[in-house]
Amino acid sequence: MRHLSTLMSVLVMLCSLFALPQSHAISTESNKEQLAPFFKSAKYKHFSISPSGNRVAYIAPKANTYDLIIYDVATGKTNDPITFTRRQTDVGTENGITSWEVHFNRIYDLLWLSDDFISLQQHSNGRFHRYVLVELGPTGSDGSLPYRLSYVSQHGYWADTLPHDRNHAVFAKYEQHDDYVFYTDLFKIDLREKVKDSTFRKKYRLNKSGPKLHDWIFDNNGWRVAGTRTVDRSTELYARTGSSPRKYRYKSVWTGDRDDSVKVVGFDAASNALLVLTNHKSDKVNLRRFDIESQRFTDMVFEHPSYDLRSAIYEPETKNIIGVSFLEKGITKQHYFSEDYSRFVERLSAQTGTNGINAIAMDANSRNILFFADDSANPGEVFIYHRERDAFNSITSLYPWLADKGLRKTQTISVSLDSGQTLEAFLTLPDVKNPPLVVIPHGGPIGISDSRHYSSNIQVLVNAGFATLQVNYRGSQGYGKAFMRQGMQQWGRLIEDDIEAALQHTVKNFSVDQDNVCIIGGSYGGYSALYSIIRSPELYNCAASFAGVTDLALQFQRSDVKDDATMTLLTEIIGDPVSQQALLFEYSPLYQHEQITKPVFLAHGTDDVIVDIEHAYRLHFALQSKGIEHEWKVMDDVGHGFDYTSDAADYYFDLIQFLNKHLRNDATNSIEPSKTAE
Amino acid sequence: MKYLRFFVLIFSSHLFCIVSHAALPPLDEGEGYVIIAAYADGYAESIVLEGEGMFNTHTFGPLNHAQLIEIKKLPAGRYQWTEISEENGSLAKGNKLKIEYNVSDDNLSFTVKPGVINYTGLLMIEKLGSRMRVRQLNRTSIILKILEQDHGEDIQGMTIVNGLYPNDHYIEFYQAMAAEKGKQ
Repeated sequence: MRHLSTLMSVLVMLCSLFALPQSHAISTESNKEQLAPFFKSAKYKHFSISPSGNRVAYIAPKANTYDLIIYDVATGKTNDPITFTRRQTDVGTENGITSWEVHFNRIYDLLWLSDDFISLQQHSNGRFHRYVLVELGPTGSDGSLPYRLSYVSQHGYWADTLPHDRNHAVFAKYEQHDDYVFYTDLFKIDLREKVKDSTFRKKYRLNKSGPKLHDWIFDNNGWRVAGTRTVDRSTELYARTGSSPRKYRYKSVWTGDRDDSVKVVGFDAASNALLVLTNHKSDKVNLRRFDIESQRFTDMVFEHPSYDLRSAIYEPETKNIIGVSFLEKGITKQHYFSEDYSRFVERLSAQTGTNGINAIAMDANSRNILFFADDSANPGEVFIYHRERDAFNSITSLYPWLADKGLRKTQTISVSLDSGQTLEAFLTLPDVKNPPLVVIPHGGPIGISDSRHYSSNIQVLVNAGFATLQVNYRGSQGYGKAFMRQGMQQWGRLIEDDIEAALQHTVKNFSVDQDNVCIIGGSYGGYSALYSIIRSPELYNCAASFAGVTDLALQFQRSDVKDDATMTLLTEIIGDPVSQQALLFEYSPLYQHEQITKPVFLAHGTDDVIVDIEHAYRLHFALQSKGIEHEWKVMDDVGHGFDYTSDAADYYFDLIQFLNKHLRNDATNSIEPSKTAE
Repeated sequence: MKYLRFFVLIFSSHLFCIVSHAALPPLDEGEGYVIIAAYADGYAESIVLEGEGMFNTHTFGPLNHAQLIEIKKLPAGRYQWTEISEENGSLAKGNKLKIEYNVSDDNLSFTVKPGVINYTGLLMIEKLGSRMRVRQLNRTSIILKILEQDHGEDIQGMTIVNGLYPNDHYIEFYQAMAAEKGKQ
């Protein structure tokens, strides 16, 4: 049937070509090509520096292959890339039956295990997991770089690189305890030997006795210090007792409250204390010391008054925690505990004029440090800092093709709410006077947040002459537990109150065209767009939804999500589909579709497994039945987001036409800013 | 996945669909009509549905990158999709091989009520190399639309219930919309 379908598509396409004036067809394709660069993924990814600081490794992803590139720090030159094909056949045997599956891999992580070994984490849509080990030889006199490949075909992660042992590392292999409960088994891998399935025999486990845990932390000698496991949304902390390796035992020392965020990030051997990122008994995630002996949290190491901490920064060799990171006013910020590192950040920020400066990797002695510089108007550049020379050198820019696109800086807006709370929103203005405004609520809605880092969907709209407003409404991540919980079961209610408050603040305080405002978004953002024109049609001229939820109850009806934990979580986020059914109907765009009086653009991918395309079809048929005009776009082979540049350009091309039509009364297919708005 | 493109084609043409057009046979006591909808992204030779009681096993297929929509009368009760299989080679050459995918543990089930039309979801079969992923999707609006086009007269006035998700009120909503449109 596929060939018939293809034939029909070709016929339809041919008919369209004949029906349209030639100039229109060329212009449309040309305009889509103009949009495509915004959506191309970074030219290089996954930068990391070797423990000795001599080499930097990174990945150049391509359509059917990816290259591993080694940059020589001393000479500033790169080697001939090592090329891998992305198409991979996975053959496995279970219960004596051999099966196979073809995957199209991506690289998700690059890690130097030692100066001689690089690990590349490959996986494919969650169904295939493998690590490629690249053993590097010394660079030849002709500049060639010999290498040898081996593979770890297991689902897990590198738990510790054992910085003092260049030929071994500890691998944590995921195991399933019972339904939906996982733990890890630990194996010390000899990187020089071929890694086989037999390497992971139970008898070789490092954790033969003791608790079954998810995460472990190791001391400088490579011995396990502590670990955690989370069961029924409560995290239990285990720590080591005993004075020598032979006497080491692991016992439960503390259990958090339900939904506490708990991550052990460091160990202070001198005081026998763990360093933990947690929001236990506090609103924000902070960094605290946990005394193993007394089994309780002692002093606070660092807490931000407004933001959750996201991660801890440590020196690779000593494993000492030297700072923390958090999202401040939409930009990832690293706060260091010593002046030394803070000074680097300030210097590079001044040198590049970029807001976001973050150390992404450093060598064992922190003599060479990789920094990533980016913000909304600078999609990313990687620098290396040489301590001896006290200088920064640029290694590469990640999106060189965007240099002439006139990317615009995003500014932070603080919006005061009637409740006394303040929320952050981000406004990006085009180089046009009094531009029409596009409000873009983020997806989720819980535990997600928008930022001021480079965003293709913001810059493509700004480039087309629209101002954009993003709102970190209640429910967003990063502002503390209470702020996030306030967004629970607030679909169409408090969340949209926040979005409207941000909109009112923006039109009052900034030069945007308050009579021409549209609301658009994907996933929850699509829902929010649709519901916003139902509840407040006076505020918006139009709405566009990509992959939006239209029927809240339908989110509970999936054969692949039957476990109680997921259903409980969905209930907490959306509402109870049984006891709160009437509310779910009241706040579903589908069941309130008769109140839609503004133009709507509905788009959905056929391969969306998060929000099924049934959502879009239900609303489409309902609007059709009522004779409510709307634009409708089914995107074949597209999931909950865009994997391919051409799909993103295709959608945004149609979206910009829709916005031009309803915000500028412009029915042409131009993607340029309207001159009349200037 | 091409099945939705296929659905869209069905709306505009009756050339490509594997849909039963025959008038519905009368129901016996204790029987209900069942909408069987399946799509195979790949080859599925035989798709087995098992119901309660003796001699209540039904086989559908083969489907090769194709969709099946069929209205069948079945005894009331609970049903489960249990197996998908295919055969390779030939007996004459001595290399005949039957590959069975047991999907009993996936709990892909629905219920059939007597005297009504039972919507039972879309069985989505995705072939991944020699492996298979099978899901039961709630595609009520699309399947009802096809049913309306192909069996409009047969099903007029009949009650349609959701045998997959009884709490889904979309069918009532859809029928109310259709009735209102009919009045206009």
